Amino acid sequence: MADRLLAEFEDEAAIIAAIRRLGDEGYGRLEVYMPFSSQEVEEALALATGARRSRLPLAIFLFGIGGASAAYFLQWLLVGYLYPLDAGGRPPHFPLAFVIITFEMGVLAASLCAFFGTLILGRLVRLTDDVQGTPGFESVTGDRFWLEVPVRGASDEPERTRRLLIDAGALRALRLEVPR
Amino acid sequence: MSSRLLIGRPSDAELGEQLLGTTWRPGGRGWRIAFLITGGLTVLLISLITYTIGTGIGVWGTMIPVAWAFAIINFVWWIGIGHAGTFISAILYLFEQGWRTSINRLAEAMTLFAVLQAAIFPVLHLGRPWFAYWLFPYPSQMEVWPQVKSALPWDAAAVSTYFTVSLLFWYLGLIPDLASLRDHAPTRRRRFIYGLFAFGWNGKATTWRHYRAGYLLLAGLATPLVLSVHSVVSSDFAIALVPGWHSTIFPPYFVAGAIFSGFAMVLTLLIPVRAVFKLHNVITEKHLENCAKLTLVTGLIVAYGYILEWFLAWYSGETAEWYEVWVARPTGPGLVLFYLAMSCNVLVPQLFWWKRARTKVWLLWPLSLLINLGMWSERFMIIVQSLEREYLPSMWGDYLPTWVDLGILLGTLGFFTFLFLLFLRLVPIISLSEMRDMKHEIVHRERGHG
Amino acid sequence: MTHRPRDLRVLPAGDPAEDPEFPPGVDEPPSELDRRAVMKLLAAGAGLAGLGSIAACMEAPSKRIMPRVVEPPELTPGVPLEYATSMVLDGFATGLVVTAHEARPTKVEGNPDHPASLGATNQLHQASILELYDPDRPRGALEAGVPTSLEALLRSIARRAPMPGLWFLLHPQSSPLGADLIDRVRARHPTARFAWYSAVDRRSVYQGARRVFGRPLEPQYRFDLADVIVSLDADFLAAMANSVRWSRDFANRRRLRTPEDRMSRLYVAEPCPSPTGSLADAALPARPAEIRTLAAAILARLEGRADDHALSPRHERWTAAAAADLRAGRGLVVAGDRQPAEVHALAHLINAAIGANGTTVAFTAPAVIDPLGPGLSELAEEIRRGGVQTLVIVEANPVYSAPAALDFAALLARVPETICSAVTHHETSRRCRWFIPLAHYLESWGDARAYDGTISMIQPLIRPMYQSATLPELLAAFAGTEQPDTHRMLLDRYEHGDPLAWQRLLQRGVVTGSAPRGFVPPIQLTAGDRQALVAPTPAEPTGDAAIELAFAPSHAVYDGRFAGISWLQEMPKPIDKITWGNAALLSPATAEALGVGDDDVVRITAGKAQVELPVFVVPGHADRCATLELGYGRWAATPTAEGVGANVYPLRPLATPAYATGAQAGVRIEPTGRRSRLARTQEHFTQYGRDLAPTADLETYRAQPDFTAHLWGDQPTWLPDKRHGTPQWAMTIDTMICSGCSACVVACQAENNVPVVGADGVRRNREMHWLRIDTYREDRGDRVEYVHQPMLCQHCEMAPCEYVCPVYATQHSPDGLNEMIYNRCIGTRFCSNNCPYKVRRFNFFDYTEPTPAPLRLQYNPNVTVRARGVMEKCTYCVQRIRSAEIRARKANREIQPGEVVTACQQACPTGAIQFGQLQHEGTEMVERRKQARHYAVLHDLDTRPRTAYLAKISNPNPRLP
Repeated sequence: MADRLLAEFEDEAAIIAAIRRLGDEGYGRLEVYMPFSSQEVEEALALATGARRSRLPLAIFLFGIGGASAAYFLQWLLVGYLYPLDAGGRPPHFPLAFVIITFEMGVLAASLCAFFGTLILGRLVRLTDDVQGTPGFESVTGDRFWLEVPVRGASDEPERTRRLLIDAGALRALRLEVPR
Repeated sequence: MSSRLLIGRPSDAELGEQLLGTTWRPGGRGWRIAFLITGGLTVLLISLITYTIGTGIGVWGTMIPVAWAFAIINFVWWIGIGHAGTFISAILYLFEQGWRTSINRLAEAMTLFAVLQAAIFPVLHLGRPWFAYWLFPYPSQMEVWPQVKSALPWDAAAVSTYFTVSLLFWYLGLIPDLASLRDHAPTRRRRFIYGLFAFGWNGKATTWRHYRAGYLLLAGLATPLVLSVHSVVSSDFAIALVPGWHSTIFPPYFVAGAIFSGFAMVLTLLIPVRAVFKLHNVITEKHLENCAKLTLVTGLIVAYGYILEWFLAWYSGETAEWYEVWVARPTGPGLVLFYLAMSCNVLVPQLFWWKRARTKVWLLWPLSLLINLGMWSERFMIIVQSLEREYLPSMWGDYLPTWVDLGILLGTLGFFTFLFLLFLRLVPIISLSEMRDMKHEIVHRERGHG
Repeated sequence: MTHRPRDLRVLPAGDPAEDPEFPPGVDEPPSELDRRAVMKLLAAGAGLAGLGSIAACMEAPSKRIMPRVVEPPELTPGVPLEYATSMVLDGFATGLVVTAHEARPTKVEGNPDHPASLGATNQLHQASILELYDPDRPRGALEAGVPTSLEALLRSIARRAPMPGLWFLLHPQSSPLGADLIDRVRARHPTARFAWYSAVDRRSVYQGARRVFGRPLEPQYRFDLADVIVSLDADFLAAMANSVRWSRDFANRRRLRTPEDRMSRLYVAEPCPSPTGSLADAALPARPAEIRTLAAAILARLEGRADDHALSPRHERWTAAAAADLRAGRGLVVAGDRQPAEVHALAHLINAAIGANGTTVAFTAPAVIDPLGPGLSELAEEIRRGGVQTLVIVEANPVYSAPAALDFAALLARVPETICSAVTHHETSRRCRWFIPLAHYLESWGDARAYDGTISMIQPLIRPMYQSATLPELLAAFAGTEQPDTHRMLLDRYEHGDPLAWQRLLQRGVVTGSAPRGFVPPIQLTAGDRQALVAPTPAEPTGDAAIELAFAPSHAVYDGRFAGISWLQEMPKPIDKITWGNAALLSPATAEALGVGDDDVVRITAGKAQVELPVFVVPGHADRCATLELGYGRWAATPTAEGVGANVYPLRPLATPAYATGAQAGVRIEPTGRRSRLARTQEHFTQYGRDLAPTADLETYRAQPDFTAHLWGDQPTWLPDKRHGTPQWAMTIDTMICSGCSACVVACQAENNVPVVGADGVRRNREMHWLRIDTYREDRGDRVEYVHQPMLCQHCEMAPCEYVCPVYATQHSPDGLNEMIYNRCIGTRFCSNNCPYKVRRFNFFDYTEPTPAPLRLQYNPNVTVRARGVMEKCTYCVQRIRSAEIRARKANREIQPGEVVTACQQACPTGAIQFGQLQHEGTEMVERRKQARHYAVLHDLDTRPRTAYLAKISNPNPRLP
């Protein structure tokens, strides 16, 4: 695994320009860090790296359906089949009365999936990561945008990329040592 | 319109300083006193709960026929208040209402704490609270299961779901700001603690992608809850055959009432917060006005509910029903609260046709208080007054609360405020990341025009 | 051995000391550990087991709990036994069958073989068992408050030389054994005198008879034969000596099977609506002093004399109608006990005039000994003269109940030697030098006569709980017997050397054929005397100033002697539903005139005496008259009794103890401006136009028999029908013959371990009665019509309470019972909210834990004692159903019709409540359900109640508006 460069940018416009530039230069696998979710940046990035849409919605849907049907089955099993006690003359299997819990459990399952799905897919179940240690990186939750560029090949490659970034408008570009 | 949601064009940094600062700027003596009072009331609540569980709910005013009273009133009232939070953060989010941005976190926090208060009562009001878990299907050697044809297990499911979803939604929205706090809080300790809760958020674009998807869908899921939870709560009454309860209009009627009282409570909280933290630039008159407008709309639905109740009571031809609605409520033992409900929920909102009432805080705030009072009275009217005058005149009985009833209600108010104050001190009151997002949109739009 | 319902077993004779019939434990003082305490100790022991001290903990208590000793052959643990005995009230015995579990009497029922019971009981019989276990019963004899030995005391009495100035003050007695003993006492102490005293005095009955027939006689009424009954202030269904029996007779003539059946017509003239009055077809509010005029007027009309009585138009109409009906049909006139002799005499004359004597009325010699013997006033006179050296008071409580004018307390102080004997301490006993604890009837041997003279046996159900003596033993001691033993005396009297006959006697509980035959004595009345009788009463001063007081024995605590029984204190009284106290009952007009309403405290003055009471307004009450209940305001009794209500005895004039006219006693009533909330179980007495308890008069019913058609039958539903398979239990209640006497309420409480919540509990609507009697009244012009509707769990087939319970704590059994599973209940109270009949009761506090140990002995072991925080309600006496099922299964047979009888049904004197299986065609219960006038309460909710009601049909005189 090769090293990476981290470049800090003033604002959206700057980083978008840089992304386009590096894209033209044939850099793939770019990664962006930003203080808020900026549509423009993401579009630019998608153009440059061809990133796909999130798969989370599908999972949530499946969990919702699963939760609901499990809830209905449980209700039928308990009061409709295993213990059909007579309560007010209502028939043991009483779909009308089962609807609400079914619905609520569906929503519950889906919501849990949405939350934890976001954490998992977003790699958010951790304390910190390798980029966080970078000096000045905390500005990413302030008002700055950061671009991560992997560098490979020739020994002068990193230096070339760094210059490329600088005159693409980066305030600064640091080389990120990956512990070996 | 969007321009009126943000006064001035602060830089991201200034915005961050203003919104994050609330968590580390030292609070004065006023805060200490506020915490002292609300904390005291919380202690009162806890001791009264202990007393009730130790002695039996005979220490309350409940009796036969009025077997449900303050506990259930408070439950319904608090749950109702919760609704506005979810409504703002979920429904307005789906409808891309920009103005929700600067108030949604506060509203969601309110929801959480309100539901927390509400959750006390279904358990506490039981004759044997220590068996409350029998409402949930757990494999027990008694081999008896909950009777899910009753509305109470529905309640259990609805309320617990509602609380969980609100919590998750609130926290998901909080994560980026926790990260900002991790990176910008003054002391190391704070940075470390916030860091723990930030889950190592680093604003990576891929993370943002999933985050947006997750947040959007969570909003989508919370939306039906806004409508379902109070419908389920209303079924506690609607499925019973008590005159004054047994009615098909209850679900929409209750939901409207819930959002109505919720927005009133949002205003009650928003106005002081705005003043204390000087947030006039981000929480503008526009926000207050919109809340007031929604209060008016839902208030009208509630009024419609009353009218329909009267009509149906007459139209049904059921003597007991008719007597309940037309005689017992306006002339029965609890008539004061009936008229309170009518005036506060029907007349007061009508003032919001008038712009000054919607925008001038010195008018808006007291009105919001009145509406909260009115909605509590409405629940009293529905629950207690209906039970006081049922089918057999021989078993009619007049209800009187005890000091314990009143103490517990007061206690929950204190506990709620206590939690809310904590929230104000510990996390950004306004979602910073969303504010930035909105600001940039505004700037873009303005550039586009200019 | 299997248990047979009517199995009246013999109690082995012999010295109870080594009698294994009574295992140790039943007669232990309450300070001893009861079983619950032992379990706690054991639990503690288990906790200490780690310390190896478990054994120590286990031993100590295990001696004290009830061990399984060697039982007598007929005693099997878990199988209750029933014994015949009798309860005596002011001399009149009612035969009872008492159930004992492991030798603990737990439940009182009527003895079907006894003429005064026919298997039914009243509220007093039902509650009397609680007095046996009263934790405040004295433990032994006292001398000036210091414990002393009872044996020694009796021995010293027996050894006394003939005592001059020896007086006895007793309740009226009818015991043949007692009569002998009295003679023996007189033989030993020639100057001994016996005075008879009960706060509820019946002398006027005998005086009336003496006036007409020349000697005191007891009228024997046949209400089942009368077409027309005129009650002159006589509450013969609830408040008279033979009411239980009379209720059955009366009901037999009122129970319509078809619209064509004939029913009697009941005229009642009384100051305040009584249970009898609430069933009247023609009720007439009349002040006690007016009754005589009414009687005279009726007699005048019957004899065709010019009616020269000053009557109000309304009274005029009423007497005219009554007289006409009496002439037309087979009539019967009954005069109330509290009415003066003249009224009784007039009643006899009327009965004679209409030829009722011999048909609907016969006469016997009074069952009570010396009916017109000396009374309290004679005794007082003697004390004043200083002629009383020794005064022996048994049960009687004159210090509390004597009229103020007598000032008996002061007189008592003047008697050198005072001996008092009572079951529990009372105002009089505390002022006597010697106290001898009297044995409760459930722990004593004895005999007594019923109202009709039948000799009834009293046999103990349990060895005396504490050191005590019976009245015969006391008398025997005075007669010189050093170690008196009632059982031996009874053997001498009844065994006749034939142990088998003796056993059969005890089994039946009555000496068959011991009732004297009724006869019709010739009228011995001088013309002058007759003239004096029929002469119009001098018109007493009218005007608002003149107000009359009517004193009535409390329906709950009688003359106050039962005030220590919490069940009775909490029993809602039939007409006003007041518990825990008494009120000044006024008519609406009078209340308005006085400017007072419900719960307003008024000050009532009669002579020097003053009493303050809250008001309760009773429509149908006579104007310018207040009804005051006796028996409250005890000040030196047991804690339960003390300070409940106000004592109105002091207001009673000496001459007419039953009422005080404005003129004679200077009666005044004035508002105090204060309020004191009465503990009532019912606040609203009208139906608010809801068809809850339909009524009709006979004409309407005959014209349109199915006038309740809109109140029964199933409404369309998609829910499955549930009347198939297995026995289906159901109940039918005939509101037509329910007088609201409330015997069922107390019976239910006794059978089902229903707790008592106290006055405040009742004020907060937290009373626990599983069965209540809803009373509705309807103002029909100048008459108020009452209808009593016993309301208990309706056991709905589509029970609204069931489907709202989140934990299946209430659900439906296959045999049609709405079941309540206490230990599954978490107390949401949703079921109560959703019960349109509001028959569910909730344990807001732990009501049973504070019950003192001896009272727990009364608990019915077959019924769960409910914990705090759970719902409870009527179960149709499921414990009786299940034990019947077990019996049937063991005998490999079906349950027989009438085999299962609920507690309320068994107690009901009129048989208004019937229970059984829907499959048992031909039983009373099923037959009634087929009658046209049956209905379901709140039928339109389609809850399909299993309890069906029969509409009340009244038989008013068409000529009366």
